[in-house]
Amino acid sequence: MTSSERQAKLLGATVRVANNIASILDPQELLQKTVDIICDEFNFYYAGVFLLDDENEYAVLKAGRGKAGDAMLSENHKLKVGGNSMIGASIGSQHARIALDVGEEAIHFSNPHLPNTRSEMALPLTVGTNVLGAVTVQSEEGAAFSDADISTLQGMADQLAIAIDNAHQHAENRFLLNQAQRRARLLDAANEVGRGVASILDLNELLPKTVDIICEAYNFYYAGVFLIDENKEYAVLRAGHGKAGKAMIADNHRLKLGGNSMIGMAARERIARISLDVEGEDSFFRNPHLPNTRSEMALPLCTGYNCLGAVTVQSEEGNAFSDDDIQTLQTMADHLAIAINNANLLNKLEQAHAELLRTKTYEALSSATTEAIHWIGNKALPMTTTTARMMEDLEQPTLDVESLKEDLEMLDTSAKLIMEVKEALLGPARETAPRPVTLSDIWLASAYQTGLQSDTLTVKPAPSAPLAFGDSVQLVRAFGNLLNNAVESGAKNITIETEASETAGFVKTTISDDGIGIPEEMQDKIWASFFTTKGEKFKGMGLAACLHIVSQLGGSIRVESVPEKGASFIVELPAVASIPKADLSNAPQTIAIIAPAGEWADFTKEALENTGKTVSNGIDTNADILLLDESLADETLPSLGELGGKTLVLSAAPSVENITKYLQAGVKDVVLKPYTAEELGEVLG
Amino acid sequence: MPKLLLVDDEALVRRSMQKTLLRKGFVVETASNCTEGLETFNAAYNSDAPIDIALLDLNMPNFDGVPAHAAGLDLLTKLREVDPGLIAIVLTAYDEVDTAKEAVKRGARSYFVKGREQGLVDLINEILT
Repeated sequence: MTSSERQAKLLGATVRVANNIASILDPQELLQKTVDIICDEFNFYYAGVFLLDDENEYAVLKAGRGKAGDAMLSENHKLKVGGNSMIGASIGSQHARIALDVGEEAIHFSNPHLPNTRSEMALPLTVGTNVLGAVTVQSEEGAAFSDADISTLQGMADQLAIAIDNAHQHAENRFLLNQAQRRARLLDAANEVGRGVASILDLNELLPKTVDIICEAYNFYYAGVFLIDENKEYAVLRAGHGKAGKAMIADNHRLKLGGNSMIGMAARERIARISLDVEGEDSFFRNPHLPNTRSEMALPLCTGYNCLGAVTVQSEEGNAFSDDDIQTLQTMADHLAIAINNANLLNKLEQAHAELLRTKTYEALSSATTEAIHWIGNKALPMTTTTARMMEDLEQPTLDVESLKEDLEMLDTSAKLIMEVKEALLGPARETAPRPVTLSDIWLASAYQTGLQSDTLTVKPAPSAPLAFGDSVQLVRAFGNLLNNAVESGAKNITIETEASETAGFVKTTISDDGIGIPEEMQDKIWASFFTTKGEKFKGMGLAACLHIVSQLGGSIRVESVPEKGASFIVELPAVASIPKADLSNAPQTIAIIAPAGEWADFTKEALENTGKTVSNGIDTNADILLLDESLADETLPSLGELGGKTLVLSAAPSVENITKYLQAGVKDVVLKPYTAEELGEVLG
Repeated sequence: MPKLLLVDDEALVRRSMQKTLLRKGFVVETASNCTEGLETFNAAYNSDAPIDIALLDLNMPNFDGVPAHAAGLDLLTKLREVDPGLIAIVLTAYDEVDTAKEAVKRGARSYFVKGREQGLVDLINEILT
């Protein structure tokens, strides 16, 4: 080959190396291509590239030509910087070293893989003042390198050094980018755990969610949370990721505190234990459910001086945890510890509350029993003592008639009170038949049944008040007790208001009076049977019965009172959502309604007139049927005469005594008062 | 004759007991609550015929007029402040060890479970002799 031909070839090789440098991003591929081009184009015996190790102590072979190269790579061939090799010397001096006859080169390193080398060139790979490594080029011929070869190959080495440096920077940038992305992902995970910690109070939900977040965000093999048991003897697994976690939870997996496990140590010593290679860790617990663990981290869960447990995080890779990982996970563990502590405190609070409730319930029952015993004792006692005295009196030669009469009256009074209690106890316990009812009308029926003076009572229904869903018989009983309660408290004015409740789906009715009111300390006790603030003549059963009835209907009752200024009882009952339309066409054509003005009379008249019926108010001799409200029965029945046979008495709470009385007076029937068109149709049908 | 003060809020119980005690020859003053009991006691104490024995129901309206479980013991304390040597019997509808102990601690001579009036008469006679 002529000098000019070789020159052209060298130029071509330089261009190809330059193209490779620009197009090959993988540093290893780039180095290998470079040595191949050098050998192929220049026809050299061998070429190799060495790069400095992290400590700058050795030049390590990274690419080598042919079998010799492969063999040396597999032997991790390296040469000491500044030592007895041309490579080491060129790196140490940052200058090219050229031996045109290696036998004469004092620092040539005789290499058994390259026995035929006669000439060798070692070119440093430098970027500015930094040396990265060196290229070796060897020939079987002595004096093989011309000046042109040397200058071309040094140019090639300089380009290669820049490419290697760029590749390093690129790798470093990628590493930094990955690190930043991972950090962002970890922060997201920490935030997610933080949100859980702030919002989830149930540990059975929070702990599994946390271990799942840790594993998914960090791509770890396994994570688990252990909590220390009550005896402070074991760390018990409370949540574990994946199938392994489930299996260990099912096995009630636990590790002895301070024992031969990282968790046991971390929980007892209250310091994190991190093993980047578990094989060398004395306290590593070899878990058959987690055979692939190579790295493990055990982070204590501490609040102040109190250790609650520990978190384990495991990876299938050695050296898996970065400083960032450890810091983020420990922060996460600290937050988790606070949440566990809060959940424990809440649990203790709930237990204390339940205990308090049990105590209060026991006190209430005990108080109610005491009231009942006291009441029964006091009512029954005069019967026994009076009877004993009367028997003594009857033995006397002269009877003291006045004394005997007084004793008999005492017996009578005691016996009557006991019988009244029987009804008060039995009434609320009767079976209920809830249906839509108009509360204002129930109050009027209650007022009638209790014999309340009409000028005392004002009933003010709101036009939009829905019907309540309740048993009219029981409600008349309950409302009657509330009316009696108001009268007994000395009320001169009683006002009833009915409206839609602030609680959706309920209707509210309030009875307010201007009586003596109820002292605040008594307001909890009034609901107990046999408790009364009104003296010995009262049974103390009325409000207990009200509470029973209203509760049974799914409602609530409460009291508000300012002593000396009256009391208000607020009853809330389920409201009727919708009332179905009904066909009243089968009803008689002419209907007389004998009822007090009010919601019920308005509803009945409207429902009948809407279906084309003729409706009259009061006694109508032409009517086909007369609907008589029970509250007007006593005053109306004597005037009905023959019309009684066409009269239906309507009662919200028919009593056996009244039914008998009305039927004997000649009415057609006594029926439950209808509050919907459907019920009205059934009554008239 | 010995003069008794009977304080009980149950009219029938009060009247029945009063009748029995009157027949046995005692002078019986009655009251239906703590306030009335204290007033009646003070009036007698300042007269020539003070109360010899007070019979105090345990469960009755207290000095505020509110029914209270051990109101009779409050009255007992007040009465013994006026007359530290007063003999008092606490009456109750049922026996209760702790309340009985408390009654004795406050100076009651005896604790009587209401039931048989002759038993009360016997107890009073025993104390007086």
